[in-house]
Amino acid sequence: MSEGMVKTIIFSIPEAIVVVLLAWCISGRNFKWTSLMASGIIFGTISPWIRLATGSYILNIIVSSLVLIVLLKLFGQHDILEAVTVALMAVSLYLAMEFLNVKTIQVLTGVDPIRMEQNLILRTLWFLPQILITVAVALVIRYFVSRQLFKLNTSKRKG
Amino acid sequence: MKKNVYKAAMLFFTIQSILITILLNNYYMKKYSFFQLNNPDGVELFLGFIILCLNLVALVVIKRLYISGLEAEQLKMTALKYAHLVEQNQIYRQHHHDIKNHLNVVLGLLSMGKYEELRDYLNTYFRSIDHGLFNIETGLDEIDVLLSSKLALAKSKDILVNLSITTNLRCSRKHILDLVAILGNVLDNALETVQGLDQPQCPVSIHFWQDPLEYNFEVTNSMPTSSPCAPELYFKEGFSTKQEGRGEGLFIVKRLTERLGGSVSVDPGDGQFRVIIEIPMHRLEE
Repeated sequence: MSEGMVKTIIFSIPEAIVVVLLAWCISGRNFKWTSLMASGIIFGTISPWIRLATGSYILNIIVSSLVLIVLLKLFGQHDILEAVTVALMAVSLYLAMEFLNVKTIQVLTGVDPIRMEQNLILRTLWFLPQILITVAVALVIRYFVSRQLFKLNTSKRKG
Repeated sequence: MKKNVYKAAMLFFTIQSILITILLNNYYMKKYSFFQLNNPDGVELFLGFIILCLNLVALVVIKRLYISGLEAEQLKMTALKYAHLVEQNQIYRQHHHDIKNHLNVVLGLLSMGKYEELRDYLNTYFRSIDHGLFNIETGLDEIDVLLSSKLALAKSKDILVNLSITTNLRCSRKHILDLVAILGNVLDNALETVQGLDQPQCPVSIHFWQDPLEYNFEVTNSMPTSSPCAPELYFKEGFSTKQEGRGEGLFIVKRLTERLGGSVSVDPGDGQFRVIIEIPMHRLEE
């Protein structure tokens, strides 16, 4: 198995799945696990190609966000405005968490981020907490969003 | 954009947020020359320009949001005023309907020459009026009707009300709805609070008086001893000692009173909740 494929399976697909999960949680919709996993796997598989094709961090994120919007529209049946807002919010949140994670690890361990990126074991150790934190944040968001939607529905029924 | 300012706002702020995050992360990566174009300045410049444009458009969006917020609040108050108007209208219609029925009976008894029965009927009718209606004279018909309806409501719920009016109110047509909304809210709050208490007799006191400059409206009711909070909390939007989703009453009262140049103060303590509203006479009458 090539190194590229290993990286895709270990990093890109789980990363894509948690970003899609985050987007679904922000939207407050009920999970459809098959759609969520399918869009996550497709997104994760396409990501390395986007990375190669764009060759720049900024362009890479912009194109990835567009792909996520399309996937949410197709698999989540979100309307276009909802797909755009939840996708951009999810990517924005994930990137902010990624930045904090890398910066914290760098401050605590003094390891250069480039070395972390190149060394598979170091990268896994950096990547794992990031995924777990993102899932936790997604579930917290889901709890609050669902609660708000529940309140909204209840008050609508009363009114 | 005017059609749905909320959607536009969501979009603008989300795009802004992601672009700022991308820029932040990119600067971090640039420090290590990681995943960058050979000449990244063009892309960064473009991104910066887009963020600037979004910031400028955000000003318009924020202004629209502010206006929408004001309109929503206005609608909330208008709905409240109309709710009181509907209540007053119902009372008028009920009396109108009753009087028509009674006149029919009177006419019937008269035409049959049954004067004894007519006298008994009219005596009973007058007794029922004395028992059922409250003779309130505040100087304003709308406030009289409002107080009558609230007193009738209190009576139907076995709530004792002490009413004392030592002033003759004067109010211009343009402010009357605001005054009805203010007093209606305060009275509703008092009656609802007392209704939820266990004690059999928990009087509500209503006292209207005037000093040389202002009309004063004071409503006092019993409250659970566990309830008292800091006075300023009661005026916060959404704050309520009742169930969730309530808490607009005193917030709206404060807004309306301040619009009339007046002030509201509350005094929670010793198992009593007192609301005092002071409105300058010249503002109410102008």
